[in-house]
Amino acid sequence: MKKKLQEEESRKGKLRGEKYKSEMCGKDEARKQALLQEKGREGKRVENFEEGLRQAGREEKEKEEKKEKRKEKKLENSTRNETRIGKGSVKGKGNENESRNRQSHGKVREEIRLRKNRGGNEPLKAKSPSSFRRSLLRDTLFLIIILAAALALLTFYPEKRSLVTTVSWKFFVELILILPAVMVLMGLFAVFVSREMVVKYLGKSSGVKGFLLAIFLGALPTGPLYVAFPLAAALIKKGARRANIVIFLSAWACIKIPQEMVELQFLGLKFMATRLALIIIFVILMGLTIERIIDWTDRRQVENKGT
Amino acid sequence: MSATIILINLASLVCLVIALIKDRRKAVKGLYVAAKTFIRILPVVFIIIILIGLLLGFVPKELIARIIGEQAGWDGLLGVALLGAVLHIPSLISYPLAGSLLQSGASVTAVAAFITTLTMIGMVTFPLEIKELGKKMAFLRNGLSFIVALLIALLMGVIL
Repeated sequence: MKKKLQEEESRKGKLRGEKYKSEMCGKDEARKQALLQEKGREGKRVENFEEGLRQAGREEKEKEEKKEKRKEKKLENSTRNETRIGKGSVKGKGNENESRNRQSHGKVREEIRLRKNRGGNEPLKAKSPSSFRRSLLRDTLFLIIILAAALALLTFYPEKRSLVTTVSWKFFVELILILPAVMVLMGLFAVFVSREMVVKYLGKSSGVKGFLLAIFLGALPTGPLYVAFPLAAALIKKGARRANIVIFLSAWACIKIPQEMVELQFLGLKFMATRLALIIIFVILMGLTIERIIDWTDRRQVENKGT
Repeated sequence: MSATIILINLASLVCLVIALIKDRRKAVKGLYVAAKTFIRILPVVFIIIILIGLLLGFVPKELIARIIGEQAGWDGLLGVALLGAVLHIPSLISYPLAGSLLQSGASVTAVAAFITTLTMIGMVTFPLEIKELGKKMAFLRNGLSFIVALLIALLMGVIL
């Protein structure tokens, strides 16, 4: 299975390479076609992604890595070529290529790019209208499919009807009562807690106070995890402690005040409180461990260079 | 109507009033962000609601208990943890799903593993993490997060 996947990978790689060549030559027709193919493939991939990932988990990871590597290589090549030709600003061209590459990587990267270009003062959750609409459309389509499947199932098994509808109705009522409030909280946090604030406070804090602050700041602003990566990168550049950055990222990922309240609602106080306490403890331990490992490998690299 | 619902609605109302007093334009912007996020998440909410209904209605409790129940083995737990790592559901919506799994016979350990890996690890965002933070950090964070999530889940199984 693995071998097959690899073969497929290399084939895809060739295809993508061809697409790239045609792009470089500027043949619009070929490029369009290749892009279309790419889109189709990407769609397929996303479907697979959502359906059968239990088995494909590891392979998917490898695939992503390979893809990433290849793309980076290409990017390098293309930028180099353009430098040689020397038309236009090299940096701008590079960005263009980059953006083209990212298209195939899906909405996540697209959003990041757009957000980055807009500068740091924007709210953490700004999204481009087109990708917003696209993902909304995709989810709605998925919803229609699920709805159709559910209706079909319920027509074939009428005896289950009342159970399914009462359960769904109960969850619907709970969610509709809780979600708007959560969204308002998240929206307000996202607007009022600016990125600069996080970087300012976390960049200079240290010790246990630093850990707690990292958890607190991670828990405050809301937005998906990928918004936090550029922030963390800025923190590294500012010289913040590695442990604090890891703690901040993890807190961002799984400790959110509004989300903890939703967990309280659906899983109960005992579950939520225990999980929260354990997460805080382990996240700090994890931050320290990662810091140790990174320091250790960095030192070894320096020693190797010295000899 | 439970206390949590009242609490969170009150909290959001208080925050909104404070925000409006402090900076009206920013508050309105926050509300706009909230409305947009809400619309964006709505289809997923309905999908999850339907799935929960079907799950509780059609999947027999014995089956869930056998795969990820108290007596189930490591395969089920690892499978659920991996699924959580790979899936990209907003964590907000994952809590009702987790709650319904718990109701229908899944063990605390399995449910905790699922939501913890779901929130901590993002396969979809992994390439981006590598790009922003470097390979070493990304691999270490995600790898350790997986182990930590399993540890948390197992400890929760012991405690609760």
